[in-house]
Amino acid sequence: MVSMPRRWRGPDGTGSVLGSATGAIYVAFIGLPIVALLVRAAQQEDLWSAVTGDLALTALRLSVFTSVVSIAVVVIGGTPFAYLLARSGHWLARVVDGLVELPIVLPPVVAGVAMLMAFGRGGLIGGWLDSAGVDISFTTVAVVFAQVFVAAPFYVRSAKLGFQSVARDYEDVSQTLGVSPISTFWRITLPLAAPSIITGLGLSWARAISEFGATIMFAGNLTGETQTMPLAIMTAMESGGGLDSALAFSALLLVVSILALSALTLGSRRRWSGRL
Amino acid sequence: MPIPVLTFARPVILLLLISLVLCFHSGCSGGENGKTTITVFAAASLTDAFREIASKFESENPDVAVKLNFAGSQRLRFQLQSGAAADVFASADERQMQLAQEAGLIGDRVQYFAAASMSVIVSERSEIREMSELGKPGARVVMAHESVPAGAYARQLLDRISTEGTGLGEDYAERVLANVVSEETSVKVVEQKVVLGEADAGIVYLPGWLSAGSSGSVRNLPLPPGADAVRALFPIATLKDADSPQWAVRFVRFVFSGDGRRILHSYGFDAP
Repeated sequence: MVSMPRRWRGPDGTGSVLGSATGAIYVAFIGLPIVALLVRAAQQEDLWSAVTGDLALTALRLSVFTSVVSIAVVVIGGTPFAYLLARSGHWLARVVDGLVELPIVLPPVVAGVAMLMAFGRGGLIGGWLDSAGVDISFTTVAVVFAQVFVAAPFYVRSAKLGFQSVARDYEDVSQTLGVSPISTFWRITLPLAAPSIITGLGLSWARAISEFGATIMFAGNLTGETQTMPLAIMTAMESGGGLDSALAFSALLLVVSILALSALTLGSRRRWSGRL
Repeated sequence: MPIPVLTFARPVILLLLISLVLCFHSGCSGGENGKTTITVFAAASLTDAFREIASKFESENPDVAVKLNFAGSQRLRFQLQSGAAADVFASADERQMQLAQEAGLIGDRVQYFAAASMSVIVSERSEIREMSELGKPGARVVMAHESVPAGAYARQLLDRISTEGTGLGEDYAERVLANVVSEETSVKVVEQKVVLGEADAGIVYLPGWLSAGSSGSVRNLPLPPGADAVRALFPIATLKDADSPQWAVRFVRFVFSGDGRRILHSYGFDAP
């Protein structure tokens, strides 16, 4: 057992050969379908008119809007929660910690049904909301609900790991030097945990913008109201001869997502690299 | 201290091996004990009827196993067009069958085996009592997307009500469509959303109302006279690339047999 780990430690010998081989397979496996999608989409003549058409832009606008709102909700609510999970030794925190990932395991359609059971008109608290005049299902709010439900765990998990990686000593020293706890969090903890937080942010946003199953179940499918990009893609795909526009929509969503995620990575690198 | 990767890899490899062994043992690559399998793609509205037809067909032909795939006909047609392997396609409208034909997927002639009237179902929770209220502001109506057969028929129904002088007004279709809160991908989802009480009303097939109505959570609204002329027609055909063409033909024949018709009738389908 003592000599075993050495072989795996560095990028030399067997390790590096194995790494490159599996890496090549990985890149081909993930890359081929994406390249195929883009190539097929680029082959059609009216690609431009499809991606700038009303249907695509309406859905894209809704997707961008709802996913940004969802992520704002996730970050505002999830950051203190993740910090608590990282720092608290309370048994209750540990139990909740184990449940945070539950929505990831749930098939999205099931998540959608569960949300109907809770917030729908016949749901646990939905009947109550309904009599108070609050309708959630079939509205844009429901789209955000669905996205937050499925995307939040990715952020909370990642942020929690980030906070855990920050040694408590740094915070203690900072506070001993008279810096307030909030200021310490802002100037010490957050920058140190930033890489994990940014990763969680990216993952979570990607999950939100690609959300399909829970949305179609809980929010429904209506152009301009609840039809986000993934729903529009599927609806277009199933309309007679709509594969072309579905591919065009997919390419558009893919390009927008890649741009957004790269901007996030580059922006955060510049923002945080100068600190500490 | 570096962590030996194999410590983690060992249980994973073991798990893989176990699942492989289990897989071979139960034969998870299909073909139960040398049985012929035929795959039938059928419209979502046919779910209950075709399950019974398939099990009756299997009990009469012990050598055959019928695999069923239900979804909106437009999705089935799309799957077939994208290379899904099937032996029989039963669509809920002519259009999807025609598209399949144009794509060169259909092997044999197309025959109509069933028809169904349309039905407007209303949640028990809702206060809607008559058709005119579907067009009033605030009513939450769901129907299938227009690419889905049930959605196309629903729009035909509304158009007919508007133009036939039923007294509901010439702008009836327009007003109801303005109340649509969701366009679903299969008529079954329309039924579910009304049964759950999330929507006030939905436009489905009569057989759908018969099965959804048994839950006691939905009612059905009487259609104005003349509107019942809108009927869904269900075509069936074998596919060109069927793996077992003979069995595919036999299955289609069985749908037209006395047993097949009786089962379809018991679920509320008429003869075409």
